[in-house]
Amino acid sequence: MSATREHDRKGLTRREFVVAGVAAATAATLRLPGYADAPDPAQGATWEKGVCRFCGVGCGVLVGVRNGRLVAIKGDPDNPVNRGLLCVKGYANAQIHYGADRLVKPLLRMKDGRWHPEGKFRPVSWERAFDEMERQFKRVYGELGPTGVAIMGSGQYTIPEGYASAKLVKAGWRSNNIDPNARHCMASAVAGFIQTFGIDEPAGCYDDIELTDTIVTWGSNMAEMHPMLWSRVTAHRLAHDHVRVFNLTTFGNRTSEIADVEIVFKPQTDLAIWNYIAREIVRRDAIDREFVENHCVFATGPTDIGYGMRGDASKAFEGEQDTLAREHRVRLTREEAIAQGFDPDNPPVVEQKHRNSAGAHWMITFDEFKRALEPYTLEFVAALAKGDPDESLESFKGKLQALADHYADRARKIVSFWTMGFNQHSRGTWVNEQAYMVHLLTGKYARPGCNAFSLTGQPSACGTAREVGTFAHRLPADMVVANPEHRKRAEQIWRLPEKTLNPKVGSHITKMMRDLEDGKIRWLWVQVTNPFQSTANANHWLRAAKERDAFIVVSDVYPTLSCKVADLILPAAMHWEKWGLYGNTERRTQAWRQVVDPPGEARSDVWQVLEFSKRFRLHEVWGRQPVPGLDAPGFEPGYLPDVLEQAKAMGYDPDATLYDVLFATPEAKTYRWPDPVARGHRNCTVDAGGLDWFPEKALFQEYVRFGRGHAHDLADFDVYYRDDVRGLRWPVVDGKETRWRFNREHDPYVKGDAPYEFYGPALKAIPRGNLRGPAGPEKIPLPGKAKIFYRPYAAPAEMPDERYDLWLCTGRVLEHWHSGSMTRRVPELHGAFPAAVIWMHPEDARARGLGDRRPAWVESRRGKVRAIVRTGGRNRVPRGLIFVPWFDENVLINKVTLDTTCPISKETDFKKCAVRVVPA
Amino acid sequence: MMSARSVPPLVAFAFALLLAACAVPRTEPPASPASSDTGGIDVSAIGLRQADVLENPPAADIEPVTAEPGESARRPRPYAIAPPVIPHSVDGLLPITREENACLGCHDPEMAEDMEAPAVPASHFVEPGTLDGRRWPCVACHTPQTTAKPLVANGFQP
Repeated sequence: MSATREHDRKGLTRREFVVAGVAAATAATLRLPGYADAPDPAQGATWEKGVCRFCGVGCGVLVGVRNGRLVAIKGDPDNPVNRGLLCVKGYANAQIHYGADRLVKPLLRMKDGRWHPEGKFRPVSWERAFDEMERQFKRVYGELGPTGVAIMGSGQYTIPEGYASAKLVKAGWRSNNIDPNARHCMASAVAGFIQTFGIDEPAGCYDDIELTDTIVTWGSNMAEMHPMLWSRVTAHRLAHDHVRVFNLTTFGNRTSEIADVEIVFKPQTDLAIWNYIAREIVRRDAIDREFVENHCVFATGPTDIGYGMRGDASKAFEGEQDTLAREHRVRLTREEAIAQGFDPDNPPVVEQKHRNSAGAHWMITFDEFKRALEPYTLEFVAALAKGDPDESLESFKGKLQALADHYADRARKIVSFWTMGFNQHSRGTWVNEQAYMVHLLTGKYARPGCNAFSLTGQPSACGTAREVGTFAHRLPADMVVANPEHRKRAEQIWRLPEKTLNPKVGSHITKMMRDLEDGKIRWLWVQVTNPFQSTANANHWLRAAKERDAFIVVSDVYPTLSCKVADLILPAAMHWEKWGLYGNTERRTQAWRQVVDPPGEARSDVWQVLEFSKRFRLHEVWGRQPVPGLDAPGFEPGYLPDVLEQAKAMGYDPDATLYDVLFATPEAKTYRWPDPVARGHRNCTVDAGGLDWFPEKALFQEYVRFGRGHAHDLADFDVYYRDDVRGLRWPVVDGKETRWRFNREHDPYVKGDAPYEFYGPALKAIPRGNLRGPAGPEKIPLPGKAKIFYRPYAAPAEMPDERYDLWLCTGRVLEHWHSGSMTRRVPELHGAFPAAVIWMHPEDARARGLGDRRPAWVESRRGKVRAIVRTGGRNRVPRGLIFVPWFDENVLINKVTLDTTCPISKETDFKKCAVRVVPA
Repeated sequence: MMSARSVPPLVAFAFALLLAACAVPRTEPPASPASSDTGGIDVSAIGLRQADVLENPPAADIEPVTAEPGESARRPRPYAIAPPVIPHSVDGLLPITREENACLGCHDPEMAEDMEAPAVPASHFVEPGTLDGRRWPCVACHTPQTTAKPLVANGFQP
């Protein structure tokens, strides 16, 4: 390299180059000045507002349309989330529609003119497709009842889509087997919110970024996964010298490049680090006593809760048996023994007695709480948690102390962000609760600039999966199927006979896969997700899909890996080809209009659900139905009652279809099409159905009834389409959004005089007890209180050993989203990152006869894949750990991963299992 | 290697489907046993993976672009305001840290002309000479490229 070149590459330092933070910029300059630097991006195009289709940040986009085609994308300068900026994926929101292999016809596996599981795919009509779906559904439903069928959805559902699917499954089929990919993404965040606050979703919002002076990322590579939020963090940090950013991670990544302090910890030891911080807060008397005494109680729960793996080993591969045995009996490690108050020289073997009641919890005293934290000294935690063997213990200790200093400093505001490193965790609910533990102890929660914030991965994981409740246990607006009052309310809004709804929780998405393998689910409809690529321990499920007697339908826009094991593929309309609303991570609901038509015979998911619902008459589903294991007051054990007589009394004809009863109701039909809100835009659901009403609006307007008056208030459908609205953060009361919940100054639901009220209603009566267990059955009501949980360090289900000597962590890269089915079809994104790689420390590579860009096998007890090794680039992994992204269907890393889940939230831990790497 | 070879059949498949979409009436005619097992689409012909789901295909290499800064041709953008990709090697230029941003060594408007590099445009500045801090991590929008060819054609047109 020439001297000149050397000089050129030095670049500019920030001191030479003035950089403005967002806070320093005036509102006027935030508007991009007319794109003077680029020619008019789309001559003659019309522009329509909308929301990005990728991650959970929810950036506002403007889409340019000309002659029925999408021609350009730009960041929406008026959207407060991103103020005109987009990441590289955001700019691909139009291109993702135009991959040459878009699905445009239903494809059915056929042989000899009939459906055949080993047949080749043949284009069929929608009529023929639904005929086969119906035939297969009714065969399975007749044999197994409501538990034999299932829908897998995701946080990519629009709000009307998720609502329609959930209503069909729960109210129509009387099954609770609907669960989203979001289970893999943020179920632990949900469980943490519900157990701590009694209500889901964050107190604060993105405004906290510019209002805080400390940002801590935990298991969250925001720089790549939430890039436009990270751009706000970056700007805030660069503009303010007093701001500090910490990145806690198991390997060095791009987020560390802006951070002041990078803390590389050993997988799972985040549990210990939080307790060290809490111990320091107690020891230094940095507790906000007034806040804690007035608004909090202390709590804990059982520790012998297993690892969410299968309870029986009959389907396990030979090699899996040893890991699976830990589901029932665990010899604690020395560190666990110390952390949980046992004799470290004789760590006990603990029977996992609370596998099925992992969420139980009870109140403890502050003294008990303090005693529980005692083992988590700096010495103990630093030795346990140091994740980089090449870092000195002193250096690591110094960083932990600095972290504790910042949390404990009364003068500092602080925001903790986390993503999959926390949520995909075999103690995911615990570690979420530990974050609240520290924020609540210090009173740094629910006020501007102080927040503890789970960032979601999918565009409507909050708005649809969580708020609509497309989960096996949920109903809309935080209600649950197991609660008789909640079922009653849903039955009233949905105009269902009493006891139509099934009180028994359905199968979560990982259990659906296990049920498929066990023959308990034999009809599956996959919507807006790619579960055979995204579920851990995939060899089991791929085999089951291929070999078991199960009919699998996949609706998608492209032929994904899941399509390869489908019996029937249904072509779906994509983002801008349909009407939709998403809800982002900060409770902001945003909407868009259909701007182009779907290609070929692709149809909206709403149309697919409505159309399929016409295939069912009430007498086929609302008779007595078997539900194995159903045991609820007022129900015959093992059965749902026949509700047809009641239905008749309510004016329903037993021959009426589910379409008539659930969707095309008299009220729904009052939302007429055409509608002025459409401003001449089309609606492919209306077009395909030949309708004179507006299904998406009808579904949304019905849905909002669940949340209004229950602290989940949404505005009317039309409001979100107004030109002056760029989404609103719920609860929206009297037309006003809410930025900080539970805070009297900002949240109209805080009714009393106290400055804070944690009014969430769930799990707000618990017994008293101590660290060993509850004292008795009497439950103490805790209105308005949040819970400060003590949760101990627990070792992971599987750790590196002599045979499998490395940690495997999986995740994403900036350029690809989810399973890559959209982003891999965009030339610039594929060109940037064409295949998954194995990030590995150079010394680990050398020790295995490997080096940069050499092919290798990654192998676990469960499966193996081949990919090339990278010892450099954007991720810097410590010795002992590898990172493999999962977007690449040719590197099916989920064949290797372990399907351990948090026993409370049922969210899979994709971040840790043991593997070996050998040359390929 | 990434399978550039797979592009023509995939494209053909897609176009065949598009044609089928236009030609096939809504209600399918009764199946004819005579033609039943010819044609049809094999599972290996759909999607980005040819190998059976239970097999483990060979590793695909990633060959980065090796052209030095200043030695590479600018690549066309997919549409006018899309962020340009980085057409040159970024070896030694990344990471972008709080203190240093090597991209600006050439792309700062005050240097760009001398360096014959595209200048950071006015849209990236809150006022002349003051970069919008949100734009400091350039690689969030501008991605270094490899030599990989598209897996599937993309029919987007600006």
